[in-house]
Amino acid sequence: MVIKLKYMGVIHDKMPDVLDLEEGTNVKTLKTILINMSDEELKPILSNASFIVNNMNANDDTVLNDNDKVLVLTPLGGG
Amino acid sequence: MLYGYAGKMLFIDLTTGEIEEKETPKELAEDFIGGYGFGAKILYDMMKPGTDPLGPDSVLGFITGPTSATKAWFGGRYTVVNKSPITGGWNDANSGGFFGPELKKAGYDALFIKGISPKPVYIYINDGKVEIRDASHLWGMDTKKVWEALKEETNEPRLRVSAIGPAGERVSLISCPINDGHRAPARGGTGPIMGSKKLKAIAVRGTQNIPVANPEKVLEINKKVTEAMKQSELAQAFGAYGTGVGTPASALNGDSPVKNWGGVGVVDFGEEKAEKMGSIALDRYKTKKYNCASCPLGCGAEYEVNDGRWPLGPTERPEYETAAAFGSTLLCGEPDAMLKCNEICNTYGFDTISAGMTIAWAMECYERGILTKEDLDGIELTWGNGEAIVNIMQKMADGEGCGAILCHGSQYAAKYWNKGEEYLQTASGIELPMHDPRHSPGLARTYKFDPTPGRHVKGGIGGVQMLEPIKEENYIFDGTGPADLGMTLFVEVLNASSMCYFSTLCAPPETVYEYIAAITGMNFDQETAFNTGLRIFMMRYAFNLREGIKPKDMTLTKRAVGEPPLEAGPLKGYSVDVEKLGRNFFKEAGIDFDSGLPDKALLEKLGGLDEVIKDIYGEDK
Repeated sequence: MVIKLKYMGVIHDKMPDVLDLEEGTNVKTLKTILINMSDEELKPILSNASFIVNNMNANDDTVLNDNDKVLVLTPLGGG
Repeated sequence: MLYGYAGKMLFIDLTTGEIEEKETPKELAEDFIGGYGFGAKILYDMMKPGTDPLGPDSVLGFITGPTSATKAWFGGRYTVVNKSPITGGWNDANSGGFFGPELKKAGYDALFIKGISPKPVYIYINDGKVEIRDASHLWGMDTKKVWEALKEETNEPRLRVSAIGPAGERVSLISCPINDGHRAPARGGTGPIMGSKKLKAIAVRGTQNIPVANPEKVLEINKKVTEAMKQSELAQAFGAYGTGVGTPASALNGDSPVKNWGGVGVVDFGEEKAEKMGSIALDRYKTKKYNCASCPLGCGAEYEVNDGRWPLGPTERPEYETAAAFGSTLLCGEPDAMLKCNEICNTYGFDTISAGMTIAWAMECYERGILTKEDLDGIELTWGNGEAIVNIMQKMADGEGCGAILCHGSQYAAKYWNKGEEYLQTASGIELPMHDPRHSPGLARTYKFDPTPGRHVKGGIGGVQMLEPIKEENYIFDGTGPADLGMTLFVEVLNASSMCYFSTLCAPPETVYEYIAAITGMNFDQETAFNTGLRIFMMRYAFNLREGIKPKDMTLTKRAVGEPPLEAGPLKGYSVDVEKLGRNFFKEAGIDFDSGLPDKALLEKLGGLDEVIKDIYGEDK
């Protein structure tokens, strides 16, 4: 299955915007895949990122489906 | 010798022109550290309950802390304290830049001002010499021009100035002083106090050294902080792009309020607009990095904007709070409009959060037909309309037409027009800041029940939740008291020491205590920190209590706690039991939620609170 990815913040432009994943992949696995393919400095940011799937909050157990749109957001509470 | 302090405080009466210098008492330093710790104690002693915040007996304080003007990293902030003309209770607001350390190097830990001058004046402090000077020629001048004018007039190119602009002169309730051209102790009504006193500015120049008990230890802690900063991705991101690096993500993950707190980022605002308002995109205008005094991080930047509808020339990178207040909150994805509003706020002297949120309230009222085009002087204030937003902001700055009403904030405007009250987004009348408690539930307790309501720079569990993805366990409201109190008291100490909140991005909490101990020579362990933080909290709390404000009287509007919950987006279905969070917190703090009374034995144990005990429990304590 294919999912579309969009990133905000410092992850921007350094990661794939489309991924072909096995059926039944969940957000936890997706996170691990992204961390494994990322530059060293992005790994801690990705491990603490928020994942929003089709405009809804997703947790580690959320199972992804074909054509899902995943937003990967860095929680950076600015002041 | 009082290590870590200039050793003197100034008391100025603008009615009589009297200038009095007093020693900074050792007990005050030990019990209350500095910042609003000093401020709460001194204003409690100097002001009677019921004092008109805009009257002659109202006292305004500018206060540094022990880390200020030393080599301690992040120690450059100062705090303004006053009775809020919006809430009728305690107010404090802090600011970075260079003004605070300069005041301390000029010889003073703090400056307290009462009275009302018959004509516009400024206070000039130069290495222990203090004058009240005529400011008639500066009245009407914006905050950047007045800084330049005063540098020339005093022949002091390194002069630091905290000045109100035309908004403060008009006693706009959401106005504030601006120091160093763009740094602001903005919130809660600091500017109107200066305006009501006819105090245009405070100008300081100092060259004195502050005695430090253990300077080698301070340098040792600095090294540790520098190393920690290199390991912190968050600190690296803030150092590179400022607080605005998180603007797009916050607009979409539910951290930022959207559409006057009634909308959903991923649905109503969208990725394209969100991305445009963040500082990664906006830094195309960056000309120079800006670090406040003693800051190794540098979240600020200077901009040069020569395109768009409002080419501003030299200006500053907006903070996250400003970008969200003039962005997602208004559904505005037009960065030139946001940059223009930021510049108006900096030059005329407005709190950007309250200004943006006031426009958001007016915008929703207009869209719902509650406010008419006639009410708004013909401006069609539709969602996301950047030109209309700038026009309204300019009217607020000029105090013209509807701007003369809106410049006093949303609560004032709703009362003036007698409509739209149900769309206010406030805590005890103060416009809410730009982090949503539906995303970080602990913020609901901080916004509603902190003695300085509606602040993002006060402590509590919400400050940690803000930096995490949404977690189901954050919506379980049992047993939150100990952590919520502990984090609150840590921030009490941090703020009183004059350190920046962002030091927490790259240094463990005990670093603050280590700095205080090294600078002052005091024994400042975890237990001392807890007791000192609680003493400072109690002093602010007691100021409100004496004004008749108890926890049950404090308010927070319903959208902020998900009443009703949002129907879409990442925060769909979430609500916050803020009363439970409040009860948990106050129980842990030793305060009875219903009566509002703090435990007498606890106050006695903390010490330094004799006047509070006497006022609450009578002479026979």
